Amino acid sequence: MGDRIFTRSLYSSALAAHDCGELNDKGEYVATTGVTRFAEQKARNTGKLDQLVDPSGFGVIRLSLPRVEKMEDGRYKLLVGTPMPIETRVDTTGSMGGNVDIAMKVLPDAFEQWQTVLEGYDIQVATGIFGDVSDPFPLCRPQFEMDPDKIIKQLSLMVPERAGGDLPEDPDLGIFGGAYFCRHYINRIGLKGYDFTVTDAPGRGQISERQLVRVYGEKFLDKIKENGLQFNSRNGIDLNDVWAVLLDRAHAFVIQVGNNSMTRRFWDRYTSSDRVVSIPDVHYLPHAQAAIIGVTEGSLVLNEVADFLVRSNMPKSMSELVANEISKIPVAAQASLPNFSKRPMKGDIFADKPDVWEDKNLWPVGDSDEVLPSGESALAGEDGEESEWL
Amino acid sequence: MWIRGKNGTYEVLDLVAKSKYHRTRLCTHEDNVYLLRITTDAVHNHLLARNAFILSKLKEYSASMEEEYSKKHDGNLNYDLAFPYVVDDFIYHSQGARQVNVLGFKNVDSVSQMIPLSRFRRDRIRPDLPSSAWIFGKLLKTLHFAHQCAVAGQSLKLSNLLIEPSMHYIVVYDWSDAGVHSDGIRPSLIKEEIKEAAQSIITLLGDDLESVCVDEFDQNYVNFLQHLATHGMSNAQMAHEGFYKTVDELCYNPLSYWESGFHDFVTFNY
Repeated sequence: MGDRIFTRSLYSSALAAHDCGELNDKGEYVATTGVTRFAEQKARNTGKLDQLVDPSGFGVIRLSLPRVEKMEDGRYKLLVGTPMPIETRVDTTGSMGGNVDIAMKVLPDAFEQWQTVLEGYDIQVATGIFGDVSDPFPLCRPQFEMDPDKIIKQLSLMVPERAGGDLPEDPDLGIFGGAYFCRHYINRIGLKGYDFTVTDAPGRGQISERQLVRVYGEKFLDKIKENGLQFNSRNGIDLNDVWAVLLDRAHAFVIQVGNNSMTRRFWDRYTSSDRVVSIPDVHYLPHAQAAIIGVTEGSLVLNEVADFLVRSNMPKSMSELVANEISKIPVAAQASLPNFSKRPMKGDIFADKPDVWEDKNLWPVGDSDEVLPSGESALAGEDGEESEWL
Repeated sequence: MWIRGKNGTYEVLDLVAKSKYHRTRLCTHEDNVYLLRITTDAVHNHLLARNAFILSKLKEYSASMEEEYSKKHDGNLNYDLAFPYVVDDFIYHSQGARQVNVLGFKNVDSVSQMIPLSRFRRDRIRPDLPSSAWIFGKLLKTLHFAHQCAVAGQSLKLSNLLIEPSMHYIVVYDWSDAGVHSDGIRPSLIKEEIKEAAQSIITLLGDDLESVCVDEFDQNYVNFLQHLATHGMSNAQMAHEGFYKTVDELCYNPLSYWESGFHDFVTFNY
């Protein structure tokens, strides 16, 4: 997999390679609009999505694995850091139809901001889109990638529907995939990745098995079992239940674009009010995501969020509003997980290649997977002597 | 024992309070005595993180309101007397990476002067009606201010209300349950807050309002209190104004023993 991480120059090269960019007045290569035009044309002609973004493609289950390199002595070295999967599914119906172009355009800003709050991690991104069940392709779900070339390629393969349809949209299908069809190293070591659903509309609240077969393939139940999860659809598939499964493996949020009260009520009901963050403008999605991630990781304190957003070029008035929204989320939820301080870092050595299916070799050599009770760390006070536990 | 925060080094003293989620100790820094709250476990860190965030917001808003007010009026709004100020807010990595808030109270030399109102209930001591009235008036003023900042949801139970009797200070102590409602506070939430505040006053009075009435004029205030405890009001400013209308009628009634101006905190055993 190599050890390349996202940089602006690699991004510009990838735009050129995939015919998604053009030179601006300053001589910089920037994303154009209509980056998905070829994919849309092909989908109309073939009736199919490219396998890379077809939710039923590539074995359905999306992987996020540590990038390791075999050393001469047969052991494996971690090249970048603990992989941090960030899955985003973006509404592309109606007024949200241009979101793939926006996602492409803001990608370098997004990465730079994520990198500031996810220091030491290997950021792996899967940005997909969703529409309505009445569309030919209600969901495009890519692989988790860290190489700008592959990320841009996958974005260009999306097929946004853009049409309005009825008011509820269908992110529920994508949320189902996030809940049941991920196998991530970060979960195997007791931590969680990030999952964002970006929409300006309510979902349906119920998912039909027929649609799941349509989107994930006839063997979707086998895939859930393969992933080691339980699933029972006898009483219908309620989004509340799917969301609960998602929360087991991810810090999941709904980012509502705008402030439609009906939309807000829906998502408060099916997730919870501390999982819904409103932003006025989808162009500032990466800023909001970075702030949410920072607060959840504990790398950003609540009182710093507004300033962080302003430094990321969000207008000050908007930063206050968004900071207030973010103040409701579970603060430091990642930092409070038992293995947070034990997560592997760049350069750590593994006895053998980590295996997320057999749960073998998950920890670097010298670490065990035992979790210290929190009281044990109390013995070292500020001056190194035994101190009273406050 | 000393611990180092972001803004200073603190000598940690006696434990003064504990709950399932936090422990509170006295601490000193540069000759001042503050409260040091620390979560019992890192999984509860979000409570004190939010507490510090909300308190900082309230401080910021009170300062800007004070500045605007002073341009056209004499005197001060003094909203910032109604909540603690944050001296420091940090993670104490040496002991389980737990969140710490160091808190002070404006114009209060030592935090040990602040007493939770629940202590009076515990000790079966109740204030007289005029004393309960200034407490309630300050609570309504605080609610009105908080709602102007789009902040709501904090507990108004007696255990969360601190009093400095000689200075007439009532402080809402913990704001970790509060949130910023950027799209407006639901009227039902405002109503519940006002109901809770009124009920707390009734609890402070020993729950038996009939026995605390000295004369027929007291009944007007008691009726107002009971009305708010039962029905609330969807606007704290209106509740505040209604409260003062009721109290002013008592204070300026020559037949009533209520007096305008500063009323000492008067209590009775029951």
